[in-house]
Amino acid sequence: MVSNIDDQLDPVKYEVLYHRLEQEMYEAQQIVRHLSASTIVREAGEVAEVICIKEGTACIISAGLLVHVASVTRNIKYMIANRYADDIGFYEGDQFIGNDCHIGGMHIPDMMLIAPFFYKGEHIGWLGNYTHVPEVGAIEPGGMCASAKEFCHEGIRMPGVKISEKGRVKRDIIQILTHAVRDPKTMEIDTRAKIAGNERARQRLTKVIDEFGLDFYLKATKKMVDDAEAFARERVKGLRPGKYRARTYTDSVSAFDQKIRVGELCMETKKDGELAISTPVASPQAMGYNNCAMPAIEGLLFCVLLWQFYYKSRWNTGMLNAISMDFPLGSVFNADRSAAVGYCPIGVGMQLQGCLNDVISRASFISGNYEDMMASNSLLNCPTVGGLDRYGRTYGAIITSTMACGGGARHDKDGQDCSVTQFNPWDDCGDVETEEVGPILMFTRRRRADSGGAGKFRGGLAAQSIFTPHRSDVTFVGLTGSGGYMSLVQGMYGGYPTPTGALEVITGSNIYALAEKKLPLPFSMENLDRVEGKHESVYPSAASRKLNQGDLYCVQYWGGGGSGDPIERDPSMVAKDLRDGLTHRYTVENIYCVDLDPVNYKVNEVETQKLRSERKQARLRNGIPGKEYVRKMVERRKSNHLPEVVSAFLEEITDFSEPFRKELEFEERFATSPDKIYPATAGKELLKLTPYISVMESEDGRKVMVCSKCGKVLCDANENFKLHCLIYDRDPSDIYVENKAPDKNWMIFREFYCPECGIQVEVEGTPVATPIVHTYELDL
Amino acid sequence: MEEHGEKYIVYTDTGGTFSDAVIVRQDGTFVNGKSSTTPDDLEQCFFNCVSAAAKNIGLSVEEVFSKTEILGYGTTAGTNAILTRQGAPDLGLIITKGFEDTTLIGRSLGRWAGIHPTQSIHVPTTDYPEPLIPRTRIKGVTERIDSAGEVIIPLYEHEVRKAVQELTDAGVSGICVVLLWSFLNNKHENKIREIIEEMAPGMPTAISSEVSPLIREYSRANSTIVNLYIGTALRTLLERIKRRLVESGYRKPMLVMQAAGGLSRRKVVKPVSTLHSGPVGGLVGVRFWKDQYGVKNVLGSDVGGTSFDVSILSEEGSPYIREPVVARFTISNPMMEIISIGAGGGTVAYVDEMTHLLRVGPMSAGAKPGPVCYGRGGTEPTVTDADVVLGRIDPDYFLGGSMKLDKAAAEKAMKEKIADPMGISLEDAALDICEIIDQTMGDTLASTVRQRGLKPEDFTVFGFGGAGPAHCAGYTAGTSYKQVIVTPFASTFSAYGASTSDVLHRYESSPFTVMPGLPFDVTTGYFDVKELPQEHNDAIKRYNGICQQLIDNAYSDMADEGFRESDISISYVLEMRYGGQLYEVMTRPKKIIIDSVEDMNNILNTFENKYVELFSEGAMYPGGGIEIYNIVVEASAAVMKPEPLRFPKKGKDPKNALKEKRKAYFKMSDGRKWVDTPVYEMGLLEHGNVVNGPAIIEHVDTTFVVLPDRLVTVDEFHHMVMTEK
Repeated sequence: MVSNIDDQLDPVKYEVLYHRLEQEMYEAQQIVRHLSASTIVREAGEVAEVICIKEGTACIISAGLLVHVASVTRNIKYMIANRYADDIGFYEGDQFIGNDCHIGGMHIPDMMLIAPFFYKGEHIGWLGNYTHVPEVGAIEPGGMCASAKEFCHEGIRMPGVKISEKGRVKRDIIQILTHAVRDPKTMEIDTRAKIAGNERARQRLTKVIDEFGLDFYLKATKKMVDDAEAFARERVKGLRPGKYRARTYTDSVSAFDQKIRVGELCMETKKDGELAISTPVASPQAMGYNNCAMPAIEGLLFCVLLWQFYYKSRWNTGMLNAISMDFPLGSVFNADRSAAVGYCPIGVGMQLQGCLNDVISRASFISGNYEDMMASNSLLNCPTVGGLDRYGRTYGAIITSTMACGGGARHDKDGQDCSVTQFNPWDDCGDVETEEVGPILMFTRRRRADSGGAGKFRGGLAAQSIFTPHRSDVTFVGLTGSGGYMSLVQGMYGGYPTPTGALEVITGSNIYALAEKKLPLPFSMENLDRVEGKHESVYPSAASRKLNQGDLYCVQYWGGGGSGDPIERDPSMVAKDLRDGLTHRYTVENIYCVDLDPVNYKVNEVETQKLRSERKQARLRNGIPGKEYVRKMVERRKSNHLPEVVSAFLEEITDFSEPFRKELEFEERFATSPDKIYPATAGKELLKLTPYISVMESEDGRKVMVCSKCGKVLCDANENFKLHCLIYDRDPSDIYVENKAPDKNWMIFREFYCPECGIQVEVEGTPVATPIVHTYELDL
Repeated sequence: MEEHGEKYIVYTDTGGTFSDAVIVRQDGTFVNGKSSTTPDDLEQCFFNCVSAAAKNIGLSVEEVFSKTEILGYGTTAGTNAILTRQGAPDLGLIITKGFEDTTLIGRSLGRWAGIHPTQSIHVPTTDYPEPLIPRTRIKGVTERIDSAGEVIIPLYEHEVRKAVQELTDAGVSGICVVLLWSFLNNKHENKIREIIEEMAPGMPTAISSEVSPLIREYSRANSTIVNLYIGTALRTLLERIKRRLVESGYRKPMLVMQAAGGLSRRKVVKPVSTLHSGPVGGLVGVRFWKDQYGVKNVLGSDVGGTSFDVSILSEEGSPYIREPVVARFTISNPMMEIISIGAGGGTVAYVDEMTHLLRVGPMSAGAKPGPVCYGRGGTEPTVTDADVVLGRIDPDYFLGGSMKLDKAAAEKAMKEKIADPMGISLEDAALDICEIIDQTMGDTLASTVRQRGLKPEDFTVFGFGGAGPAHCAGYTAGTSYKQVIVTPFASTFSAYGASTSDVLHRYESSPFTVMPGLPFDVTTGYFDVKELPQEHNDAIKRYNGICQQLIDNAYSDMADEGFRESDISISYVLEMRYGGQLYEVMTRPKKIIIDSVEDMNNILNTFENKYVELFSEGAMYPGGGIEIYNIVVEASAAVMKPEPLRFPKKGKDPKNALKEKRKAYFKMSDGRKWVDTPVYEMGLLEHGNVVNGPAIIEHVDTTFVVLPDRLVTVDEFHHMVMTEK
């Protein structure tokens, strides 16, 4: 569907214009970045400058953070739809400020400035930019507040307010902004930075149009939008049509809420190149800040599509024309205006991004695009620090070590350690020597062993950090996070979900007294017991609290999901990880089933083979045949013989989600259905569904699912093969002994084995007795 | 030519593929020599290329060296050692405990730094480079200094001893030491070095507060490691070359090019500072000619096979990159800023499979396989192939005819891969490629100037590099530069440029001088300081102390280089920002030590003027006070330089240089067409000659394409000055 105006455009001139606009917007973006006072702008590059066509779609985007590519477009469309032109008016030199995340943006701290662009007196398009500002006057410093219950706790909300009229900055609006926040200095610096960025962009764009001509510019920018859509469709056509599903759970825990929440992402690839994304199963929105508004979830998912799938393209928001998104209103992924949403972009929204990693990888595997595969990446648990710095100035920032997340395992490699955040392919967690601008002293920033999901290829490891207030008596520290009871990052193909997040706070520690005596200090979450003081194991979503110098704030971040059966991991990779301190002896022996010499790390191949063979035998002994497992699960649900939190979850979700109810009904039918007879063998492989499951054709032409390791026929090709495996509910503390494992009352690791050879084909991190996910529904 | 009594400057540059030598006479004329780089023995190619150059003037190497006044050496040996992992084996690292993974986490950006964004956007395919020191040889020791330079946790010496013992037991060949904030207080790093020396006498060490005393531990650690990693081999190489030079009759010091843009004596040069010094030679050449022409603002534009490198020298000097990326490691040794994009002769053109539009780059066919016309297995049409198809490059006169190009192969690839899929003619496909690549390079050139708040019309552009002259008319089109100058020795511009370099040392420190609450005029936004602020006495005292130390170091090192105080010129850079901001503005005050309120106001005014120039008055934020983030002291001393010959003026008519006419394809005022284009021999053009475009001016190692709307005048240096008609 390439634009039909192609013929009228000189292709070379078009290409030249594209490069010119890219350069000019990069310059304007850098103006904003250099003038900003936010560490997240400097370290994470959370800034963008865009050009939009008249109807609002962005054609050129210079973005430090891809997640925001749709934010400006949404705000413009809002102003048009709300008929701003009729009374508020769009004039040359106007700029509008917006941060209402139900209109556009991820959450309240994302502030954008939008300027109608005029050429020779005619309104022909828009310019816009945004940055994440560190303080918005919410119930706690920052703007991602763990104690926010509803929208009005999250700070000042500007739904597109004119802040500059005909080139004059409106001081009244600047005062509204600065008087509403704890750190007026930064608010003013950042707002002025954005005004300057749009002004630079305006000057440059005017010159470009002078050179290229208005008519050409308008046609070319429209074509840029159309080309992006055409590319997006072509890419999807390369995938096998069908539905791919992934599910994630989160523990939503605070003083007013202790619940399990679920989100399932369904990606449907259509023959016309459309990508339909929905969440057929989603919990109702929560009381608390772990919800998403629709613009945020759209931007988050689009961002993953850009870096994992559409990466070869020149992208812009024209691609969104080839993507449909459907999320139930009032759900955690499309919360209404009453909800707080501060944690969305790095919390439950980022978890849904992990689901998208999973389904893109599964679709890519089938299509042979192995280089696009990556199991779920992690989310962020983000410490925020506020108060006064050593010069007595107000201060607010995040601890950027949180960006040092683990990437999901890849097709033939481990995930990358400490380097993958979903919203920015160019991750930068900064140095410890950024302490110069903050009232803290860092004691530790290093990788945490086994913090990624175990697997044939393990998830990338996450960082851990330990820090204390320093040279300031007014320091407040909070943690924007989740996941104290559950793993929020799933594995794939038999790889495990990650351990949970963790937060330990030690007040009144004797760390400096120990140091004076040159006694061992705690440099890892594993040896915090070296210090005395009041130790608190806190759920990793904590409102800001005042801490004193010497109090320790110890945070474990998230790793990436594992991929493949851990007992298939190359023993030499296991030995290397142990030698480098990246895994534990327990994991080596009990998860990877490797026997090695702890002194020279030499692998005993024979003993290892024996251990692995024994593990498979144990699986065959302990695994329950699928139908029997489902029958028991149905009985448990009916008798409500379940942990209280699971029971409450099932009650809520059954009430809210019709697709979930249908899943329960299906399992009831399946549990009592007569057994089917499948062919004993199948000959011709039609496609590889996963590294362990193939779709094959039997001699009588029947399409069946087969274990590609041993040839065992599991079921018909249109059935859920997991229901025909041996299934075992694993207590996660069997897997993660040295790290914090999910609480089995909240989440078990449901393992699926081939009933013949015992290979572990899938693992679901899920509350006990919840339905088994039907991952693939392909057009075969 | 009379060679007796002459003095020479000799400069050699060891590149990845070729080594170049120039022998420059005092009158600025020179000869060059080329030889293949011998990666296993870099000493050999050093002398091979000098020998090749010497042969061109009928002298032996010994005869040349006996007349050599200055010998400079630029080398990519360090970069190559990292790329091929052939530096010092089995190094160890001692680092502040709790931060043992600093170099492995690599600030997260280690995963993608040095990879082009069009590739690094695809996260699953990006990985960290193989570390120079693996985790098993990284040892943490308990200690902590804070951002004020104060010891918060004492050094646990027993842990140091244990670490040194473990590393020596593991057979390390050297130990690097990197502690947090050591550049503010090096007490612990020095103590560790003492312990290493005591336990393992003679063990090579690198101490971060010495190698790179600058803030940001990741890049400082990389610099420290790289310095030791490439250091031993580089020092050995320099020692061997020096020994043979002495045998050949050269008795003066051997000078080594640094990425900061100046030479340093072999004995004092920091190995890490030699990384990426090759391209900097071009920049130094630009500086030399800037002075010769007496112009204030110049741009260097260097088009090689794979990259388009832009350097800028304005009235206020040239910018530095604080943290360059070398072989995918971010280091903290500042180098002269060269903005580089993937665009050059080897840049590949293709038709986008989804949108069916023509794209050019950023991928490159590189030197191997190279353009299709090289006949080395390249199959994808490149910019050089387009030049050949258009008749601009003579396939029989490439590198003076020493390398025959396969025009038919270039045409075939261009037709099959570009022209046919797009439904256009062969020559239109080639011209489209040139126009796109020219515009891409042109945008980079212009935005380099504009991003600094400067105006292109104030700048003179130098076009050099093997493919520079073929495209400089294209990439300067549409922007009103003052003039564009092409030299007859465009492809050896870098080596020649480097031969004109001064001895230069650069000293830096990060003082964190924070002065909130300075008085300012609320109506104008400018600072209004009437007396030195008493509340900042301590900060100013500390700042002055650091400045004085840097200045003392500069004079002392230059004295060691053999210069008198009167020979040395000192200049300063302060990186400053308003309090609360996170990015610094580079300013160049005349004096940095603050003795009086006038000194203070001079510093503040210099900052404000630069800030307003870059960002406008509307973006001022005096309420935040001021922060001085970084101090730089540069000390330089001039060494012998060539005095370029100025040729007498001749007539306008270039007929004596006319070689032939050949068909070349151009965009003329009445459309694209094949034109009988005059071809001139560059070496025969004379001062005053005027060449009207379209024309082609050839030289043994470069081709200068004059587009139809351009005019070229040959100046007194026999350089070609291009202007619009």
